[in-house]
Amino acid sequence: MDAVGTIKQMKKAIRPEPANWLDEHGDYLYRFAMFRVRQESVAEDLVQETLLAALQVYQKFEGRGSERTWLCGILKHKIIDHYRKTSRTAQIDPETEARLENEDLFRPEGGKWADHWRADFGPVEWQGSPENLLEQSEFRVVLEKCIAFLPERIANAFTLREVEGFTSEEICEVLSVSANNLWVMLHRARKQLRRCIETDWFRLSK
Amino acid sequence: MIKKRYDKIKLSAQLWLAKRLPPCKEIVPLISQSLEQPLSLREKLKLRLHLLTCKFCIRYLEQLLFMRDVIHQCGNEDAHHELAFPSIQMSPDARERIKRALEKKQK
Repeated sequence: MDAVGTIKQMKKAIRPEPANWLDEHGDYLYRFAMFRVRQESVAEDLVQETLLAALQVYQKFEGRGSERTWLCGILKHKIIDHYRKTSRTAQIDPETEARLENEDLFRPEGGKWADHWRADFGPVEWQGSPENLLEQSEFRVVLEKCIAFLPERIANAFTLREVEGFTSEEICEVLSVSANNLWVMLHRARKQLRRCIETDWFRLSK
Repeated sequence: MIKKRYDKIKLSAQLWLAKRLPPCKEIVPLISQSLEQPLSLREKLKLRLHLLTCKFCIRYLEQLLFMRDVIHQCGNEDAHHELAFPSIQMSPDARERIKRALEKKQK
């Protein structure tokens, strides 16, 4: 076979096959979305939107990089659009927010060592390395459950920061909040998540 | 013997200092903020001095960094590979719906 023929065949081989996208990448994209939006119906819709959008532009995809990375890139944009939309509509749930703020992690005012950690709620020693923990499916279940337990807008801010590594400015733009507002949200997310992981994993596995 | 005595002096010094510094409740938000932006000199000093006296807040800081590491790795694309736990899958209904939507669009 001549060189041109080989190249043609190679091109054919790396050309995306829309018919196979769902089988080959569907669950991957779904898991990717689930970790970020935490609701099945939303994740399913995002996968559908991603594949439909990909269908419209796939002639432009020249096989640079993998098909999966390319689809994932489209999905990431769809997820950020979703955050943008929900930041406008998501109600701030005063009850949950108050619970987050007033948790009695610290000793009561007026007493000895007021506003210092309560002995029974103070952080305990965490055993194991991140890599080691992530290999355990039970830990991942606890982690995802604890993130899902956060109020939605706080979980979204936290995900943009820690999963996607966005800067504060970028997150403020997506969620339309001030920098101060964002820091309070991140502080609450970390405080609650830390406590949830400690209670449901580290204190139990001791 | 000397070691024991040293520990005792260290502990009373820590307690003496802790009583004169802002309490944990004020420091905990500062710890989170230190992950977002450089603190002012005043805040930095407040945080450093407090950490000298408080093992809980030291752990709190370490654990925030630990969580950052874990969550970043967990969200990493590789982690969503088929081998990853738990094997979350789309429902057959959703799969069928998306398949139909794709076919409709391709026609």
